[in-house]
Amino acid sequence: MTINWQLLMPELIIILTFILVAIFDLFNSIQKTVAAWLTIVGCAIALYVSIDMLQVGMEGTEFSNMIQVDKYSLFFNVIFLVSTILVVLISMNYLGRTDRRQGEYYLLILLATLGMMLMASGNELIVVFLGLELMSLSLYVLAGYFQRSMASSEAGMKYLLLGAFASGFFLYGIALIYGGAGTTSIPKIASAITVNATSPLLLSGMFLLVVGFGFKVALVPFHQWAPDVYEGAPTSIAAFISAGPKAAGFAAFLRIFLEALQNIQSEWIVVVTILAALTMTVGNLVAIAQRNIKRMLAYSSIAHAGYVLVGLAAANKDGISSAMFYLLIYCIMNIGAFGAVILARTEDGESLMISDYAGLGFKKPLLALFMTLMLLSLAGFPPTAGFVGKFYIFRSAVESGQIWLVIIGAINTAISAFYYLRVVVAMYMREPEEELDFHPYPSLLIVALTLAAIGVVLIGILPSYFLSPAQISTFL
Amino acid sequence: MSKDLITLLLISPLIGFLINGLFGKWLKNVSGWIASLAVLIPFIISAFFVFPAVRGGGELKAMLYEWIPIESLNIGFHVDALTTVMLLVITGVGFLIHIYSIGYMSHDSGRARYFAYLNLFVFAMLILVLGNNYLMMFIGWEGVGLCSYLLIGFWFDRKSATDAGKKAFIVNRIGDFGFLLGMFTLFAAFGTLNFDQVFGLAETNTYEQVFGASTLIVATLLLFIGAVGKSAQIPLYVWLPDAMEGPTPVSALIHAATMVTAGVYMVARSSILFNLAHTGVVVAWIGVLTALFAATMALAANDIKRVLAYSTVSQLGYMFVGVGVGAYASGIFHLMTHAFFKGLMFLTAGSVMHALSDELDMRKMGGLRSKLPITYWTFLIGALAIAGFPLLSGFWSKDEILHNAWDSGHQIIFGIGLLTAFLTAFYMFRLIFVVFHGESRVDSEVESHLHESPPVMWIPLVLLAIPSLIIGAIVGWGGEHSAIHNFLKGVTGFVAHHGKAEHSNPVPFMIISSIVGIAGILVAWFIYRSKTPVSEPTNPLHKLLANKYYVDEIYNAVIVQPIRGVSHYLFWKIMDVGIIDGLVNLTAFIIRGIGGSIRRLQTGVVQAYVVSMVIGIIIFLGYYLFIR
Amino acid sequence: MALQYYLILSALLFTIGVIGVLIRRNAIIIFMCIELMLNAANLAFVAIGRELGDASGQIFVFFVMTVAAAEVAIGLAIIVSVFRHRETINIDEINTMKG
Repeated sequence: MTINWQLLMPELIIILTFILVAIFDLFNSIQKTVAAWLTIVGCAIALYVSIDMLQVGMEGTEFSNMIQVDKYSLFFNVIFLVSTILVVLISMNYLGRTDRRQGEYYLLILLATLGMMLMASGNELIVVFLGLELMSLSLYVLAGYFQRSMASSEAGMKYLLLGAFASGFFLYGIALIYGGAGTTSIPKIASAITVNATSPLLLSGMFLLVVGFGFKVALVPFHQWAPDVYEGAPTSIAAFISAGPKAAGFAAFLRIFLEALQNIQSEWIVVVTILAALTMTVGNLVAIAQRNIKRMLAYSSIAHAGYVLVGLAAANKDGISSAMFYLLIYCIMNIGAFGAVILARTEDGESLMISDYAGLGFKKPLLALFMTLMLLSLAGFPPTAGFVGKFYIFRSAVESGQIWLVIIGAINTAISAFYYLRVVVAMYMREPEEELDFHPYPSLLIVALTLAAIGVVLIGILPSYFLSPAQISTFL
Repeated sequence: MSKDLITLLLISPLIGFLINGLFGKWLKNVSGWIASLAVLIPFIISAFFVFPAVRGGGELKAMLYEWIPIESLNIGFHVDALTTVMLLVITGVGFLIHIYSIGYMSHDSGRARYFAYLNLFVFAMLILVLGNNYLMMFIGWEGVGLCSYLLIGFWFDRKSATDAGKKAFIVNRIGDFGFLLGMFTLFAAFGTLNFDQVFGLAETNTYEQVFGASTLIVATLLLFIGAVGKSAQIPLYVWLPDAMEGPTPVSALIHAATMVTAGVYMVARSSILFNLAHTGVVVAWIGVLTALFAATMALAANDIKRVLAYSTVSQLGYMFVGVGVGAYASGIFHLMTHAFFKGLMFLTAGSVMHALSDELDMRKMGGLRSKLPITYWTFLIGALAIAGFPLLSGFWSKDEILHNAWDSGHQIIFGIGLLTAFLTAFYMFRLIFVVFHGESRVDSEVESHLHESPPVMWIPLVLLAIPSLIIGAIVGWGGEHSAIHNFLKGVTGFVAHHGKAEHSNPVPFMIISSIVGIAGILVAWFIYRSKTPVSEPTNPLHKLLANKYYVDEIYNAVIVQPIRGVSHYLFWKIMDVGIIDGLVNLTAFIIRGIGGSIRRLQTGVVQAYVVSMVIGIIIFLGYYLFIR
Repeated sequence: MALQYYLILSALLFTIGVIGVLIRRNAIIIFMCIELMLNAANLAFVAIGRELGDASGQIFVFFVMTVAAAEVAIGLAIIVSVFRHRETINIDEINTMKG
C-alpha cells in the first residue's frame, strides 16, 4: 500500500513542527520564544502549502477512504492556520510576563490545530471523533493553563466535564448511526440512507450528533460552558477556543449533515432552524446584560455561531460557501477583538470591565481604533468584513426560503449593535471614572492586530476575492 | 491593461493617504513629497487618456470590481473625454498645489495630517469623476465634502476655522439632500443609476413616470440643488467665503480649482437629462445672477482671500451659464481655464500671506511689487486672464460662454454677463493696485523680514502662469472647431443649441468683451492707482456691499434661529426626549430585562448546565420520536 | 442473541451514566459516569459490528478506549489542580464564574 503523502502535506508539516518544538523545549538554555516562532513558521508553511494545494485543486482520499482531502478541507485548513498564527502572535507578549516554560502551550496549540484539520478532512465519523477529541483534550488543558489562577483551573474543569459529557453523546450518536446505516463512512451513509427508510436508530443517532456539535460550537441550549470558560481561560486561549475550534466544529457539522445526512434533510432542518434562531436571540440578549468584556465577547461568539448555523439551515450550496466565508471573517475579527482586550492591560492585570474602557479613545487611540474596527465588524457595519459575511449568509437563507430566520437574524443584528456600540461609545464619549495605568503596547500584539485589521477591511472592500474560493470549495 | 491604469490612477492617492495617515509622524518633510508623487502618477496616466486610442476609441468602461452582486452597488468606472478633462485639471493643478504646499506647510507640525487629507481629497475627487453611475458620484461627492470639512477646520484650535468647517458642512448637507432626492427620483423612474442606462432610457422615453410628465424636470432640478450647494451658487453660496479659513493651498485646490466645480461637472455629465427636461434655463439664470451678485460683493471686500472667494463664486456662475444655455463644452472649457488662473491667484495670495506673516487685510499691504517680483508678475497674469484680457486663457472661455448665451436667445443673460465681466476686471485690478502698487502700508516689523517665497513655492506659480497665459489660445482657437470642442464632441456635442441652429460671427463678441475687460482695468487704474483704500465704508451702497448684503444675518434670523427654536422645543424636548427616547428606553429596558433573567440561569454550577443540556436533549428527542 | 438486547443494555448504561452526571457532586465520580457513557457506546459498537459481520466496529472501540484513557489522564490532572486551590472537588462549590 502506497500512501500519497503529498495529499497530507499540511498535516505532516504541523506534526513535524510539533516534534521540533517538543525537542527544542527539552533544552532549558534556549530562549522561550523559540517555541513560538517555530510554531508560527510551521503554521505559515502549512498555510502556504494549503493555499497552494487549494489553487492547484489537489483532491483525493487516503488511508482507505478515511481522510478526504478536497478544496473544502483545504479552505478550512486556511481558516485554522490563519487563526492559529494570529493566536500565537497575540500569545507571545501575553505569556511573556509569566516565568514558566512555554513549550507545552504551543505544543498543545499545534495538537489542537491538527485535530481541527482532521475534523475538516475526516471522511469517516470515527476520524471526525478522533479529531474532535484531539482538539478538545488539548483545549481542556489550555483553558486551565494558568494553574495558579483559580478562574483558569475552574474554567478547565468545567470545560472538561461538560466537554466529555457532550463527547459521550457524540460517540453514542455515531454508534447509533453505525447501527442504522451499517457504516460510518460519510459517502456510504449517504447512499445507505433513503428518505423513506429511516430507522429510529438513525434518527436518534443523527440527533445526538446535533447535540455533540451543538456543544462544540456552543449552540443554545448547549452553550453555557462558553462564557465561564472564556472568562476563566487565558485571554489568548479564549480567542483560540472561540475561533478555530468553532470553525472545525462547523466544518464537520456541515459535511456530515449536508453530505451523509442530506437525504433526510427534512428531518433535521426544523431542529437546526430552531437552534439557529434560539442561539442568535439568546446569545445577543444575554450579551447586553454583561459587564465583563470577555463574557460579552463569549455571548457574542455564541450569537455568531447562530448566524453561521443559518447557512446550514439554508442547506444549499450558497449556504455552505457563505458559512465558510463567514467563519473565515469571524475567526479574524473575533481574535482581533480578544487581542484588543489583551492590549488593554493594566498593572493589576487585564482590565476586563466595560467601564474600564471609558475615555480610552483619546488615551490609547491605537487600541481604541483596533477595538472599534473589530466591534464594528462584529456588529456587521459596512464596509467591514462582518457586513459582507452576514449579507451572504442571509442571502443564501432567503434563496432557500428561510425568510423568518432571516428576519430574526436581522433583528438580532440590530440588537447586537447595541452592546458592541456601547463599548465604542464608552471609549470615545465617556470620561474615565478612575485613572488606570495601562501598559505600553507590546509590538507583536500590534502586528497581530494590524494583520487582523487589514483582513477585516480588505475582505470588507474586496469580498469576491475571498468568497469565490469558498464558492468553488463546497463539497456539494 | 486600461483597467489596470484606472486602478493605479485611483489607488495611488489612496496609498499616499494611508502612508501619510499611518506613518506621518515619522516622515517629517518627506510626507509632502510622497503626497505629491501620489498625485503625479495619476496625472501621467490621465495625460495618456487624452489619446482616444488609450481609451479604446471614445470611451473606456471598466468594472473595477463587484462589491456585492447588486447592479447599482458595483464599483464601475468609465473614462471618456469629459472625465479626461476633469482628471487632468484635478491631478495637474492638484500636483502643483501639492508641491507648493510642501513649502507653505513646512513649518506646520500637522503637515502629515494635512497631506493625508489632501491625498484623500484627490482620491475622493477621482471617484467622483470616474464613477459610471450616480451612486459612485455621490460617494465621491460626500468624500470631497468630508475632506473639505476636515481641511477648512485644519487649524482646529482657531474657533473661526471650526465654525467655517461646520458651516460648509451644514450648507452642503442641504445641497446633498437635493442630490440624494434627485438620485432616488432617478432610481424610481429608471430602476438604475448607471449613466449609460439612465441616459439611454431617457432618450427613448421608456421610464416610469414617477411625477407624470415632469419626472425629468423634478429629477434634474433636485440634482441641480446638489450642484448649487457644492458649487456655491445662490442661495447656498454662503459657505465658500468662510471656507477661506483653511490653509491657502486648500482654498486653491478645493475651493477654486476642483471640488467646487463638481456641480458644473455633474450638470455637464447629465446634459442629456437637462436637455430633455429643458431645465437648463434655470441653471443659466441662477448662474448669471450668482455671477453678478458675487462680483458686487468682491468690490467691497478687503480681505485678499475673500475677494478671490467671491470671484470664484462669480466665475462658477459663468460656468453654470455655459452649461445652462446648452454650451456644455464651453462651460467645461471655462472650468479648465478657471482652474489654472484661479488656482494661480490663490497660490500667489498664499505667497503674499507667507511673506507678510499671514496678513490678509489688503489695507495693510501696498507697494509689494518690487519686494515680491515673481508673485507680482504671476498674479498679474492670473488677473489679466480672469479679466478677459485679449488672447489670455480666460478671454477665450468667457467669451465663448457669452457668445453662446446670446446665440441661444438669452440676451438679458448676455447683458448681465457682460456687466459682470466689467466688474470682474475692475475688482481684480483694484486688488492688484492696492496690494502691489502705491505706498507700502505694511507694519514695519513685518516689513523687516519681507521675502520672496522659496523655489518650491514659486516654481508651481510659474508653471500655473504658463497655461493661464496660453492654454485658452491653444485649445480654444477656432470657436466651434477648436481643439476642446472636438475633444468633447462625443460627450456634449449633441443639442448644443436649442435656440438658433446657426452660429453668429464670434469676432464682434470678442471685440466687445475685450473692450469691457480693458475698460474695467482702466477704471480700476484711475481710481486705485495712488489712492489709499478707505478704512471704513461711508456711503450706504458701499456699506451694503461690505456687509455682503447682510445675507448671513438674514439667514441667521430667518432660518437658523427659528429652526433652532423649533428643534429645541418641539423636536428635542417633546418628540425626542418625551416620545422617541421613551420608546427606545422602554424597548431597551425590556430587552435588558429578558437578557438579565436568562443570565440568571447561568449559575456557574456545572450540573445546572448539564441540566439545561439534558432538558434540551429531551425536548428535541421527544420531538423526533413522538411528535414528528 | 438478538441485537436489540445489547442495544437496550447499552442504552441503559448510557442513561445511568447521564443520571450519574446529573446527580453526583463529586467531580471524580462525575468523571467516572462519563466514562460509563463512553463504554455504553463501546458496547453498542461491538454489538453492531458483530451483527453486521464488520470488524470495524471492534476497531473503533480500541480508538475510543485510547481516547478515554487520555481523557482520564487530563481530567484527573485538572481536577487535582482545582483541588489545590479550593481543597474540595465538590462541584457545587466551584462556581466563582457565573452570569
